[in-house]
Amino acid sequence: MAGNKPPDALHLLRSMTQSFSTLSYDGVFVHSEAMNMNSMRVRHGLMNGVEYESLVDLDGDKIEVLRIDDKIISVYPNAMVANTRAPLIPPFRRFKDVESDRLIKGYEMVISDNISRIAGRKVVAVKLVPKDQYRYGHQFWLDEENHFLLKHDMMKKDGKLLERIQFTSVNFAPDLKEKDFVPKEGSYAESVVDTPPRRVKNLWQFDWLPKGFSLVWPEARSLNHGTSMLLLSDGMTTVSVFIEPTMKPKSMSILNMGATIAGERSIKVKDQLYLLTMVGEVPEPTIEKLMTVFMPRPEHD
Amino acid sequence: MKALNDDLSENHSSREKGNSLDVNGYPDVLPSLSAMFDGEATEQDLECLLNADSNDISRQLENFHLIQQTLHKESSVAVGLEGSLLSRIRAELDVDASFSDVQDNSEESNLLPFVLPTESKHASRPAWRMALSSVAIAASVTFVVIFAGNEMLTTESQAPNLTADVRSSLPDMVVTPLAELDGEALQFDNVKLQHYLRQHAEQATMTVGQGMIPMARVVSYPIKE
Repeated sequence: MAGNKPPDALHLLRSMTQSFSTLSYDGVFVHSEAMNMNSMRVRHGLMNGVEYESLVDLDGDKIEVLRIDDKIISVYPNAMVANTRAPLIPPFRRFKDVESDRLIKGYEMVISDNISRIAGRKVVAVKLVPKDQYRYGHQFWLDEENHFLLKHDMMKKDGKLLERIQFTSVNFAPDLKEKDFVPKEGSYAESVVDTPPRRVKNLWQFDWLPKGFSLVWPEARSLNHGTSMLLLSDGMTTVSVFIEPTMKPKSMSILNMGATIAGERSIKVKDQLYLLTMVGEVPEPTIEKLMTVFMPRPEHD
Repeated sequence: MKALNDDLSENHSSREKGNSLDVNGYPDVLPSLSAMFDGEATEQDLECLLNADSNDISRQLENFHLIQQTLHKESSVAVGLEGSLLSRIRAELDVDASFSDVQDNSEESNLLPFVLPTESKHASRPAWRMALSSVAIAASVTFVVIFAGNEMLTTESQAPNLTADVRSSLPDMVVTPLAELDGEALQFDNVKLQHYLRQHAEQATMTVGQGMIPMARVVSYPIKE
């Protein structure tokens, strides 16, 4: 391992981020976590000024998630169930840069001297070592030529692997056509109506946050069933916060799904109970602690 | 549990023959029960269970339990499960109906109306669809009932090998629940959780700089098979 080289590591991460939206690619990767493993095909292309992306599960039912510019469509093999929606804000294109200030607060960044091969291509590895116990470690293996992400490990602080994504093959000169991103005959997809995001005043705050974490949006997002959503990030991982009125008191419970942790509890503000749910790829103690320091903003704010 | 599920699946596969009487002359709820445990319960199956005599369900559950006892050579006997099963089915139907009402009445909906199945096909991975549909009411009932069924048919020493592990806070956890909260049993609302997990995955795609790859997690979220 080489010594710390934050500027170089940041440059690689920045380039990795951009490669997802600027490159055309057609690849197969394996996603594994806990006892689950799925192989998936991802395709991405820019055609006539429109960005197309497709993620298809290759195991079991052939469910596909399509993205055409800022619209996400879920496609099912048959007309079983379907749910399509426009995301709250146009995805991916908001990536102008990696959030280096946050990253530096939370991680040591190390570039490996070793050049290895993933999916038949030479890679360079970047490791993000967490500076505290409130986040996981990451290692990225990037294509040496175009810095496309070919392998990603998420690890506990002690090095135990939590989640891995690894490409087995990838083609950076795919012959993609618009029709490749049209749901196949016999499959089912719902047309999409683009709904403007509804931004509402954030009435909540955290009394504490791990270093580097902050709210991604200054305001809250109103979801469709009376739920407000907030988003925290340290530049590498995210924690989603959902808060909604409820009638039922609940003490804290934690749901562990590989690298993803979900926590739920009710909190009482004056005479109103609220159900607080947090979801994120962070250690359990982070979710637990965040849930205890979540509170309403003072009314004069 | 796998062997038991296989056994139930055999019963389920025979339900194409239609409802019949069992050897004792009782209406046979076994096909609907087995369909439920297989994650393939249709509205008719749920209707059948809700309308069935609780003694019939109790008898079938005892049969299932005897099969499990045989397979696992354990001696504890499950009793009084039928009421719990029916109440949970009814509770889930109530919850889902109210959830649906709220969605339908919302003026700020970001979600398009979902489409319920027009026909029931073999569901090899029901939770898969749950993960990606998030608001599929019929499927969500199946999902929850499967979970409840596994809980009922498994003793503590033989807990199902679930991907998701729910636990309450430990006594030494740095958590101070508000004094007003009671000690009610903890249970995530699966439909809502799937919706939140999907929201989370979508936002992660916009925030962590890995394109659509974080969406891969959605299909790996809680799987109950």
